[in-house]
Order: sequence, then C-alpha cells, then structure tokens
Amino acid sequence: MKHSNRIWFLMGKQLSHSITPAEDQELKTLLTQDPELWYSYELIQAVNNLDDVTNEFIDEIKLLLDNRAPEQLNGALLRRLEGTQEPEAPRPRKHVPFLKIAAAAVGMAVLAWGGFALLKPGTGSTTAAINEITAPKGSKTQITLADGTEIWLNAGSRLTYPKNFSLENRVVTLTGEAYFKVVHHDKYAFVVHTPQADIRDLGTTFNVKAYEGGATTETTLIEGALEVLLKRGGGRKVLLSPNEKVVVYHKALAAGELQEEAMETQKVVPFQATNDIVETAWIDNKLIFRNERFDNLAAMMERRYNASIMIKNEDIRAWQLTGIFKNESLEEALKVLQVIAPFKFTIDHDTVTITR
Amino acid sequence: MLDPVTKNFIDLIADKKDNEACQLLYAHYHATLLDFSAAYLKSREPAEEIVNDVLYKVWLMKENIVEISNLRAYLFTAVRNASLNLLARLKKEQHLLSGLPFSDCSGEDPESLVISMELYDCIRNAINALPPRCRQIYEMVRVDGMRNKDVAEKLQISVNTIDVQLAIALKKLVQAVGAFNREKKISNKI
Repeated sequence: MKHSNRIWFLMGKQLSHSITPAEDQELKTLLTQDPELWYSYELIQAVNNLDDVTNEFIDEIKLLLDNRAPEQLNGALLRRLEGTQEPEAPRPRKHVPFLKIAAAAVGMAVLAWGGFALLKPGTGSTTAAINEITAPKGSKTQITLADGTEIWLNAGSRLTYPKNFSLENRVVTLTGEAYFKVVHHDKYAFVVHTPQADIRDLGTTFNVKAYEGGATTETTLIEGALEVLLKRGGGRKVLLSPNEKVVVYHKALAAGELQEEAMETQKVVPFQATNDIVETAWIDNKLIFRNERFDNLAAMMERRYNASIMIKNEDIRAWQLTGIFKNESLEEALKVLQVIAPFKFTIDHDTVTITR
Repeated sequence: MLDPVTKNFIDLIADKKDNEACQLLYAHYHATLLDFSAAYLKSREPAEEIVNDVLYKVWLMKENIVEISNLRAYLFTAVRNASLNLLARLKKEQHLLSGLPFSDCSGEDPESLVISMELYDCIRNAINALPPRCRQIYEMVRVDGMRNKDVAEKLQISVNTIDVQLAIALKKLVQAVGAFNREKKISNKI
C-alpha cells in the first residue's frame, strides 16, 4: 500500500522542483511500469503549460490594445478577442474566462507571439540583466533553465545567469557548489564561470565546487566530456573523462608555482561502505568525508546546518576524519564524530564551540 | 510561459536553423519517448521504429509547428497511439493465426492530437474538485512554480504535509485523466 502510493509523492516532488536525482530515476522506473499512467501524468503537465500560453497570449493582446496600433492586429483575431472580453462567471483564476476561446486559438497564440515580440516597445535594449539564484546555508535548491538544463545548488551557494539566457547563450557563474545535468548541444557549449577556472561542458553531468574562501576549485565529471580552463597562469586546459575530477589549488596558483602543481587530475573513488560518489552525495542529502581535515569538515557542516563552528585548539584542526552524515541533526552529528575523535563541544543557539 | 523546449524549437525553426532544431528535437525527446514506447511494447526494437517515425513526421511538418501548442504532449500522444495501434495489429495477427475472434481496439487518429477541449475540461474539473487546501497547494506549485519548501513556509505548515497534499492531488488528477482516456477509447470503438 505504502509502496503503491510512492509514485504520487515522487510526482509531487518533481512538480515542486524538490526531487533528487535518485528519486527522479525511481519515478522514471515506476512510470515505465505503467505507460498509461505515465501518459496521464504528461497530459496533466501539458495542460498547465497551456494555461500559461493562453495567459501570455491574453496579456500580449491586452498590452497591444492598451498601448497602440490595434490596426496592426489581425482583424479576425480582434473580433475573437472582443467577443470574449466579458467574463462569463466568477471563476477561480482570472484568465479562465478567456480560456475556451483562447485555447482554440492557441496555435495562433504561438504564431502571434513571434509577431508581437517585434512590435512590443522596449525590446532589444541591451541592458545586461542578470538572474540570481541562491541556496542559503542549511538548504538546497533545484532549478531548470530555459534550455532544459537541470541544476542542483548546494547550501551556501549562488548562481547567476543573464536574463536573456538561451540555447545560444548558455553561460552561468557559480560561487559555491552545484551539480549540473546539462542538455547537450553539439554547437552551443554550456559554460560555468568560477573565480579560478572556466568549465566548458562537452557532455552531460558534472559537479562543481568553488566556495568563496575555499582552498580549492573541484570539478567532478560523472558522465560525458568536460573541459576545464584555468583563468590564471596562461590558461592551461584539462580535458576530463567520466569519473575523473580536477582539483585547482588556489594557494599554489597564487604563489605562481608551476601550473602542473596548481592543478591535479584524480580518479573518483566511490565511498567504500555505501558505494556513493563522495563528490555528489550532497544531492541525496548525505555529507561524506574521507580523510578530511577537521577544519574543512567544520566548514562543510557550517553550510549544511547553517551554524558557525569554532575550533579552539589549534592541533585539533589537522585531525583527519572519515565518515558519513545522513539525517542527523547538528548535535547528533557532533556526537557521532565524538565516537571517532576525542573532543568536547558546547552548542549555544547556532554557535558550536569545540575544545579538546 | 510556453514550455522552454517547445519555445526553443520554434525559435530555431523561425531562425531557419534547421540542423540545430533537429538536434534539439532528438536530444530532448528521443530517449524518453523510446522508454515510453518500450513500456507499451515491452521491446525496444519496434519502439525505436515508432519513435523515429514520429520524430521524423514532426520534423517534416515543422513549418506548421505553431499549430502544436505543446510539443511534448503532442509527441507523447503520437507515440502512444502508434504503440497502441501496433499492439492491436499484433493482437489481430495472433488471433487470425489461432482462429479466435478478435476485438478491434485501434487508437485514435494520431494526426489530430492537439489537446482536446474535452480533455482540458476534464483536467480543470478534476482540479476544481480537489479539496480546497489540496487545490490551493497544487496551484501554488503548478501555477506559481513554487517549491514545496516555499509553499510550506507561506502557509505555515510542514513540508511533509505539502508533499502529502501534492501526492493526493496527483493521484486524483492522474486517475481522472486515466478514466477519461479509457472512456475515449471505448467511445471511439463504437
């Protein structure tokens, strides 16, 4: 019973943009077991899009009628519109009264759209408007861009992209960590800018970690092909294959050392106990750390739990710890850590103090 | 907003960037439609043929693509009908071979498949029939594009409740559409 209800939950999560890749896969598997149900689900989503189209259609026409040149409108279209100006009855959404006619004219809506874009005043201005998406500390965000690319943004991260983002212009800027599932296009690359390196997608799925103040920029390729271009030091390029990651060491880069040492390619090794890929486990809400310095781990926990963690004793910072957090609260996580490392802690609101 | 892929596709056609439009069509839909068709046919080989056929047909009529309001729904409908037709044909052959009488259950004409007003009403009615809270949450998610967390915050209830309400909404809506599709199949036969 519980199992058979699972599919509705997964659909809900997908529609509310809060599904994880693992759940996404699970939903797909369930849908392939019942194609008729899958079809119904597709139709429900399509009708929503239809609402949106008609809505825009009405708005566009209204704008034209209000502002100028009704004579530019196709006469038949105008008559149609006038015939439906009066709302028939109070209905839940303001655009619903128009829907019957508008839906019939939906083909025209799309056709008209292209035309109206030319007529609309003010388009074509070249202001470099920017969209910004942030995931505050303590929570993650998932978005889908206009080209269909899906992005999961980890806690404490920011992603910006131009308002006129499109298939031909696929450039985003990242501070923090994000997982990209890029819709590949042979001609138009998908580019991620970070402070130290640019990442050009030549394939599909990858993870980028470039936190402000972090010691490294790490790019992990899960599937496809990827090119990482170092911004400083002559712009060295690295081509990645699946299950490889490239680590850029900021310090070495700043010190002007040989680029070979500032940039390193490593094989991705799954976490032994669970077979998870360490670099992307955060999407499934897991925090995996392997031989991680305590101070680095503390920084990760600060972002995950939206807390500030102070390590009082200098020597503790360099301890190397290995483990995995799943659903633990901050306090539970610290208690788990105490099992493998001898330290004491106090929590005051969102501030944790760690001592020997 | 028109769904982004449909819009991209229309833009590319309008710009006469045919190759790119073709690639977009395949890159976006081929794999999913193949899974979809194979789910009916339980075999990937005929599914591959059906999907290629549908995509090619859409490609040929690309100049008229503006008549298709939602490319994805259109493609799914075309693939579903073609898959059901093939299943019906196979069934028929089997029955002929075994000498048993058969019932013809061919799907509707795949060319006339912009979402019908009836279906549209069916879904709208199903949404209107949801319990008020449930409907409010569904519309906040679908119409305003909110995430479960945002809705939870706005309504001051737990994310868990949102997920449950959404699940209830989807169960009812999917079942309503499923019933509609079955009824339509029957009335087409008559």
